Amino acid sequence: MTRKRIVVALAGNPNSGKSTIFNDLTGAHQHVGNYPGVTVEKKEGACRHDGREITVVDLPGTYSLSAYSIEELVARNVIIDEKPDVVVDIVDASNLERNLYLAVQIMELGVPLVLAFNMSDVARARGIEFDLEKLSRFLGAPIVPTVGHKGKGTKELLDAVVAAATRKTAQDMPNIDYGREVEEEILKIAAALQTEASSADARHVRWLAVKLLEGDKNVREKVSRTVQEITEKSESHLAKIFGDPAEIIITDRRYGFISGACQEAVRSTVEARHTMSDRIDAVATSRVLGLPIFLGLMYLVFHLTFTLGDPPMGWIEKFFGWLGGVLETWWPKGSESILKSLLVDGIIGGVGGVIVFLPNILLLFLAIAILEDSGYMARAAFIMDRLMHKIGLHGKSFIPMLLGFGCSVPAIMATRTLENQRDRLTTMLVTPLISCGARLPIYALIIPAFFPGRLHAPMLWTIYIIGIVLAIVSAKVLRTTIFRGESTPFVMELPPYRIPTLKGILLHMWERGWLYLKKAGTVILGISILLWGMTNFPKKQTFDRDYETQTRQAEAACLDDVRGLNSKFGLATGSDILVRAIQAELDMAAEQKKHHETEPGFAEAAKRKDAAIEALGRQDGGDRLMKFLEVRQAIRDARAAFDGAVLEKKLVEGTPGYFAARSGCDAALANLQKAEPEVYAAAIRYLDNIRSSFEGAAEDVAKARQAEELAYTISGRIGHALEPILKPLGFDWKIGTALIGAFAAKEVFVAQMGIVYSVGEADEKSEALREKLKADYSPLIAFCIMLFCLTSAPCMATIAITRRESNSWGWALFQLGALTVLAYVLTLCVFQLGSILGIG
Amino acid sequence: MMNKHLPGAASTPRSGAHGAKPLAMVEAGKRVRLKAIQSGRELQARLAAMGLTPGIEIEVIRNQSGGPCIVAVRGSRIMLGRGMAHGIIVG
Repeated sequence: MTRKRIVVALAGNPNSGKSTIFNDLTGAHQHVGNYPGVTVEKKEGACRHDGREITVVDLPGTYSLSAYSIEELVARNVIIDEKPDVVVDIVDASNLERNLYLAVQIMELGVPLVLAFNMSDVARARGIEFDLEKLSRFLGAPIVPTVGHKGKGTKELLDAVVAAATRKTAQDMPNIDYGREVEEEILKIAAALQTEASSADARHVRWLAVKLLEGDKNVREKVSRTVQEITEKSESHLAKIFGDPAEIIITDRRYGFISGACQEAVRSTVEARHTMSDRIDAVATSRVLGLPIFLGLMYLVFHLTFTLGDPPMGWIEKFFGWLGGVLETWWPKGSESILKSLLVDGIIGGVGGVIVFLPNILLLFLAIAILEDSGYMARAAFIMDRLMHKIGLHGKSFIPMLLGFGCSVPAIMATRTLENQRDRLTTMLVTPLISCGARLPIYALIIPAFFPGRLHAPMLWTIYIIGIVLAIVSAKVLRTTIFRGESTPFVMELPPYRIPTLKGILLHMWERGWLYLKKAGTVILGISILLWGMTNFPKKQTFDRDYETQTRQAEAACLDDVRGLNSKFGLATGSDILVRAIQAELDMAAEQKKHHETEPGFAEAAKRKDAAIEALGRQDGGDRLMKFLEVRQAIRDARAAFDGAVLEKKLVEGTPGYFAARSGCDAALANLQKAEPEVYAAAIRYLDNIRSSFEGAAEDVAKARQAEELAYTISGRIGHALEPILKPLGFDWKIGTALIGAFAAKEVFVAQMGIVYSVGEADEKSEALREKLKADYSPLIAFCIMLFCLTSAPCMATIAITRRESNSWGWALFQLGALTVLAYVLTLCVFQLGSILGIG
Repeated sequence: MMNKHLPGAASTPRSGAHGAKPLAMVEAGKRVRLKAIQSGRELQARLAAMGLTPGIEIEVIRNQSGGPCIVAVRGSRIMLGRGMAHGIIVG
């Protein structure tokens, strides 16, 4: 006996519990991928039994093995081409007749077959009794009863698999008798086939002949013209006799064979498979309650996804922040190292920004897995079909579109539930029009800047509605143009409701989450690096303005103001000790910028400053200086204590806690003022006027420098280059640059606008940025920005996932191009029309 | 198991033009016999694989105007789009 690895292919109807058995057999040792060239998921796993290594290939769930769907073709080709040692057909024992149809077809292929009668407990409970031995003889295959969700029968199934794989003699499988007329034609075709390929075994030849009669395109393409002609003759001959196409006769005979076997070997006392499910459905799919129940469940899914996902998202964000911080210490502070910037800003920033969505995605897939495994998804499709039908799609497309409000990436991944390629692509292409969560910060920045308070909510609502309308219209357009064709017939089995297994849904969730991490992650890593390069290179060497002189000027102005304080608290007007003390502080700050806090240089700078100030303290008027510094420090401490308390306890203005903290701070300040009114006034003046205006000026210089650098980089230049194209939309180069950033992730738009407008770290709450935007743009342009961001090419993650899910760069680039064109045309119309009408 | 519906089926007309109508017109709760599927080969084959072969008895579980209808056939519940329900001739 050879000890080679046994390859098992798992076949079965959808909803037969196949994936549960697969999980039972392989546990966590699974491999998920796609079959080459098609979007059909390929799952493989491994296990050991009786000292034998067993590889389990999970075939797509199918009802038949025709060539009419990709799934069926894939399943068939795996069986024929990869020649697994054993095929295990998972049969829902409580729905035997329909499930055996596939078994019969596998049997006809002549491969070693083992039948797993799954859910045999349910079948027995419903009064179905099997004579397994008899049935096994009829079908020519061993039968093992299993209960997938309890893991029962797994061992016996593996025993049967090993036995079937190591059997010396060929399995004795019966042929189906298709009746005299059909058999005659099968013989004719088989004879013609045999003369052409003499080596093929008889069983395979017969199978080919049956398939040809069934009108199987895939088989027909592979045979000679002569055989095709003979087949056509046979077909028309049979059609004349029966009045039905040959495949209907063949299907009917197969079902006849099954009925015969069942009548002999199965006793059924009651038909109860659906009673419980029917009772639930009477409510869940009813005309009145169906929709509210569905909407309620969807709300729950959203709620779960976006509220439970929040804390872990925070942890991941913190982790990447920490990681970036750690990496930064590898370089001297303020270092211009390109590698550091690439690692921290490019890779950690980019990939971290994507991984942050993982909790959302896992939760979303958890919810979807529960809805799917319980059987509710089919009901949701039933409920939404009526509406979706109007736009040329059917019920199932609604689920991905709904998920699109959260994030387009999982939404596009959810289109996997759509079997039809046209429906799937249509849904995939229009889903990004549904306004995702990442676009919200853009609206949140712009709407309050340009529109009065009473218009905030209506404006936001309008934007979302525009997205929905655009998605609907685009779907309709796609279905009547490139995805034309008779509206895909909607046929779907409504499986009985089932309680999903924990193992099943967790595995479901994990394998999809892992795909997201792996595939989207690698592509996103690449694009992150590219975008990082574009916003960082080329580096500007000589600047148009002398920023260093400007910084020095600001410093000098500050020191001048400080000198003016001398007389205010009893220092001699000509004294320079205060100026020198402040100078020492500025020097320390400049020096410390070059070091990490943990480096000795950092502490040394502080020591030098302390020494300098101590020396100044011994000079004339030193006591006044020390008093000034002491009071200033006390004010800072009191204010810091208040800010710290607000931040830490999340105090909100108007609450008693906030009031208490506020009055504590005020009392401390009042005490200081009472003790040293003059010094206090000078210190306040220093902190609130001199110091803050110096900091403001220094920041302005830094930001102006940043803006100049950005304008010099590739993305800045692209922004400038795009200006003539964007002009008709009312956009300038700054918006152009931000739009490029928005392609990385929509929310980057806000940060990028912040950089362009030199307001440093901007977020959607940034008032400074709003003021600048207001000065530069009209409300019409503001609306156009939002419209463009809503409609235009989704972020790179969406493009990457479309590429992955459609298995073609073509569709991904089509999506990118079409949405960009749509956004452009739409925004152009709105802006031009608005300008003519004088709106905004 | 196979013939348990037969007593009920005996009361419905089995053949002939009389009583033949699209599935879409059959009220929920009625049991009818499938006569023909007016569609392309592909769809016929798909439906046949799901158990909808000519001559089989089907029970209409749900049939609301405008939406898909649900039928019981060979022990499973199948949801059929409106358009298709018009193309399935029963009697």
